Amino acid sequence: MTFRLFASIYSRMTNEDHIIIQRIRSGELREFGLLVNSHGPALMAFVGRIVEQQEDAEDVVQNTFVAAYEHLKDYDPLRASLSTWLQRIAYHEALYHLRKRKRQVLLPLDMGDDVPDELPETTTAEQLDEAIQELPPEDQMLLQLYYFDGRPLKEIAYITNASGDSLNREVSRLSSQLHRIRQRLRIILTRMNDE
Amino acid sequence: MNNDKALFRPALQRQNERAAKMKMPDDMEQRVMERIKPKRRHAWLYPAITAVAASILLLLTFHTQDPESSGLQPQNASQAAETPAWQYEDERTIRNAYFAHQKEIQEKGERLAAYIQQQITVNIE
Repeated sequence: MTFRLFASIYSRMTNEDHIIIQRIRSGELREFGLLVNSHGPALMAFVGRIVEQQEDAEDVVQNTFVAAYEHLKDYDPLRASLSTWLQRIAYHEALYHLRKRKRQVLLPLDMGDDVPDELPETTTAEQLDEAIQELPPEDQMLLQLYYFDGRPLKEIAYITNASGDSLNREVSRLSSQLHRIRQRLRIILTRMNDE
Repeated sequence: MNNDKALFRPALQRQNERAAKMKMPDDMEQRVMERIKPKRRHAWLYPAITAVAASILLLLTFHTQDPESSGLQPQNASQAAETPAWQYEDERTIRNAYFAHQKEIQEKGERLAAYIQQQITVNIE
């Protein structure tokens, strides 16, 4: 069982990545450029889900690669694929970038007893998109990773966990957070429908 | 929950389309490599500084441990070859005697000063 788990995780890392990482670790700095070119475009799209401006996304991706180079010795292919590891760094870099810019706006919503059980039946994708835009970036990203990418909560927990807590604790936190986000969206959409 | 999923996907698709428009600039590799290279240079800098510091320390240590570095050694190597070892011993003895004599004078002076001070105090009283 354990072997199968390790094998499945390890297979996510392409042979090419594995060879490049070995070369970088043995001191061939130029090889890192290959990683930048192969993972950069996907990372830009990933970061683009959190930050809105092209320039900001470029800064975040650049910082991500520099941080990845500095911590390459810490990368463990048995825990996650290289792209997931890079996404983990990019996620925290993007949030740090937003905090520096103070763009994060938390909604002062009253989460009282009158939270509707379901999303309003008349809700359209456009309305939901508009409501999602009002959420903090962390919550938007959680929805993207869970609902759009369809990733398991354990993988999302690996990306979002920064405090060094156990993955199970982070999974539990994310599960509660998803529940709160849905509540928040119901309130926003109900208000939008009322207006 | 499943209904939510069906609704969330098209809504999030729009956000993804916006994100997909962000293209990686052509010079990203160059930018990253430029930021990485100085770090590599720094990695060599510290061992180099340590090696230089260690060399200086070793030189100083050997210099101070040199038996002929007491200030009595001859000015140059040729003089050292000509000067017999017993002469060094002689010079050291003379110098030690000179320092001992100086110390004795200083102590006598201090004792005399203390005596005068005492006499002055007695006379005033």
